[in-house]
Amino acid sequence: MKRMTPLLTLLSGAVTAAVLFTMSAQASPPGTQPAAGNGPPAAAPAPSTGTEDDVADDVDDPAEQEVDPDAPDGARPGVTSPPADRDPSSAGTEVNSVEQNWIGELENGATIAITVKNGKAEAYVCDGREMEVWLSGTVRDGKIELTGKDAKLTGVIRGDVASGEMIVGVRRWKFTARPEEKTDDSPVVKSGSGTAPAIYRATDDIRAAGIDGGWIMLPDGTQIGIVTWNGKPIPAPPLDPAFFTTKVDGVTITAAPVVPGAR
Amino acid sequence: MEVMRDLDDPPPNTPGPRPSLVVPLLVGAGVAVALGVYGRTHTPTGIAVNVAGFSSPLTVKVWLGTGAAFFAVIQLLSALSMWGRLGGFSPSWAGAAHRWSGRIAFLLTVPVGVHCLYALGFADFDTRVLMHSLLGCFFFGAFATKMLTLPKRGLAGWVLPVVGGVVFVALIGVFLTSSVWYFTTFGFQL
Repeated sequence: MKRMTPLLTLLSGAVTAAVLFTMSAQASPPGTQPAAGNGPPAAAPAPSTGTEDDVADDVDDPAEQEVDPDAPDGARPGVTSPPADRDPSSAGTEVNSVEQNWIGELENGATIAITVKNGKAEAYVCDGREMEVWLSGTVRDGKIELTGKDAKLTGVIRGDVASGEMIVGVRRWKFTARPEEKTDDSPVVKSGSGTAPAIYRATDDIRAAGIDGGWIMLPDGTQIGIVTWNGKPIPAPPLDPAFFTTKVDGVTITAAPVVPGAR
Repeated sequence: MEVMRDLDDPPPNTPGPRPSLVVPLLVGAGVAVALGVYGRTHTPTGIAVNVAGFSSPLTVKVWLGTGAAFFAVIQLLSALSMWGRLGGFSPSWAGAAHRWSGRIAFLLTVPVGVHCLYALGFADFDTRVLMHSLLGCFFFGAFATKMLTLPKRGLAGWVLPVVGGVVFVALIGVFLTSSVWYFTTFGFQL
């Protein structure tokens, strides 16, 4: 028996590994497996948001793909699709409160997400390639007033459409945004309700290490984001929806939801 | 004392041919290469099961790795004690301490290795990561060799200390290139 104990040790380690392995394989959603992979070049090719598109293809059921084909297109530069076309399924939704996430587009094709709570608001504008702006401020009486570094965003909420303009430096873009869908039956997105956070940012300790990242979780389960790596913006690989982590150049980045009033 | 001798002291002047280390070395090399090839070729998922109570999967690994390194130090001390290299300090429980600290250390490394290999894969984008990847694969191979070597009788006296030392150095190397790097980069956190 004494001779056997080292083998038992090995065996128990192997069994533990096999169990963990199986659990991990079951825990990882199929959509993230190809996409969260080899850092930014493989995960998010530069010219467009094609990766998000791919993820959506992998993840969504066919019915949703028919609804959402405009969403990735709208994020491409130069293509401005009317926001009403982007998400027809929410057109009939009654919107009683502005305390939620507003998702939309700038006229330059960037995606904007505004999350509103208790009159406070945080917004993230990003085109998934190089442009990103963080803003914070208030949404009161239907008026949106947000400021960021060298940036100002103003607008109004009428019905279930938020619209206005964002000024960054000397440039100016119009934007429109709509409330995120209240229901989302995508099986992959665990946080399906409309009150789930839409904006994620790299956690403080990671920002202290010189890496910053921002992500917008789109209602269809896709993501758009930018990671600033050594001062250079690169397309952010999708966040793992279980832990809100992702990997850039081998470094795992953890993101936290951006909650208005929390900072 | 009896237990210790039974397992760990080479019996003096065993007659017959010396047992071969070919099989343990081959298996160990096979394990290390297989882990490396798997880590290199499969698509890392960025995801693995988490352990409750920690802020992120990374800190889980960091602390499990730290625990493994702690028990590895106990391994080293208990081994030195068993082989009479700590002066007169060679208590009867040194053998049991050695075995159990080793088992705990190994079991602590398993989730870390699974997470690394499954979620992150073998990477080489800088020296630290390359060293970490190589040492990580090497550690499990070396450990398998050690476990397969232990039951063999009549080995040369230097074999177990060398194999054990290699396992220890590999684990500490893995620890330095991960947990210690993490603590110095991101600070202590649970």
